[in-house]
Amino acid sequence: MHEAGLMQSAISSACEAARQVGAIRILSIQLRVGTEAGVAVEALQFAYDALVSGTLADGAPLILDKIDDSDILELARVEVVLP
Amino acid sequence: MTARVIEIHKSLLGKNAAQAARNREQFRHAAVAVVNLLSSPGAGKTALLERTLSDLAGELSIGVIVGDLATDNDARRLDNRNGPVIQLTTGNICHLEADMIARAVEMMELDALDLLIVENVGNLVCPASFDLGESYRVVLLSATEGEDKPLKYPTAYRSADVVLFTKADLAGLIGCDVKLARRNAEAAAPHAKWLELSAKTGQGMTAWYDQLRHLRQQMAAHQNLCRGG
Repeated sequence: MHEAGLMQSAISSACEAARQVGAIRILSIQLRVGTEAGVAVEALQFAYDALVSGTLADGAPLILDKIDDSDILELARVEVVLP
Repeated sequence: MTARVIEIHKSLLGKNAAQAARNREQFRHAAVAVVNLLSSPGAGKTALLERTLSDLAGELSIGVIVGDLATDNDARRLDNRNGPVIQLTTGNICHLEADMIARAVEMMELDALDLLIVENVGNLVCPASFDLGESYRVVLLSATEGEDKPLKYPTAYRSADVVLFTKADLAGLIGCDVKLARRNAEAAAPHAKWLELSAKTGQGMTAWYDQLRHLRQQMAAHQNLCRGG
């Protein structure tokens, strides 16, 4: 169950990117998850729900794009609100 | 207020991958072949190590890193006359990561070693995703686990260079179909070498030692090549 650590790192990278452009809120976080990445999407979602509150992304949906036959695991894009 | 999409495309395993690459470079420089042992809990990693260290004592200088959630029982079990044994207790972390290996290696005299064997945390899921900088990944399948383990945990087996069928002496007693186990392992890892052994009786251990010797020679040859010697 290393999904929590991976998700923590995804959320902090997303918040960091949002802050850099001066965003006031994150609307969505999108991850690309290969079917061979060795992570369970359910566990990623569970970790996200547990870790996101109190951050810029509080309330924002997590979008998980499954990629077949790939071991990719990346924070793909973040949708933010600018003031 | 306006919405904007920021493209990031940052690997979540990037930090580990970078550290693994640094480890690999360090191992290559010291000409140490590194084996990452993966299996479920109780498949016989420590028994395999006990016998290996004892049989190869005086021939190869072998360092060992053992990972567990808690206790140093494994390190205490391993009476290693061939080199250092370092126990990593990970707390609640279910796998070893490249930076844990880097810290453990700091406590060793790497240049004095021929081989470094890392006994990963007993878990067939998470350790498969974390490159430690090893030259060789060995995944165990014990006779007592059921022939279909490689089909149930394909990610771990797919990453194997060698699949070791352990507790082979028990297969007949408990009705384990070794041919079926092998077919399943080959389906998950067609490129991997298959070895059958028993650390208890010693059956099949010679082929495993030859594999380790071969790996050691490969690493030494590679280093000579790099030095132009």
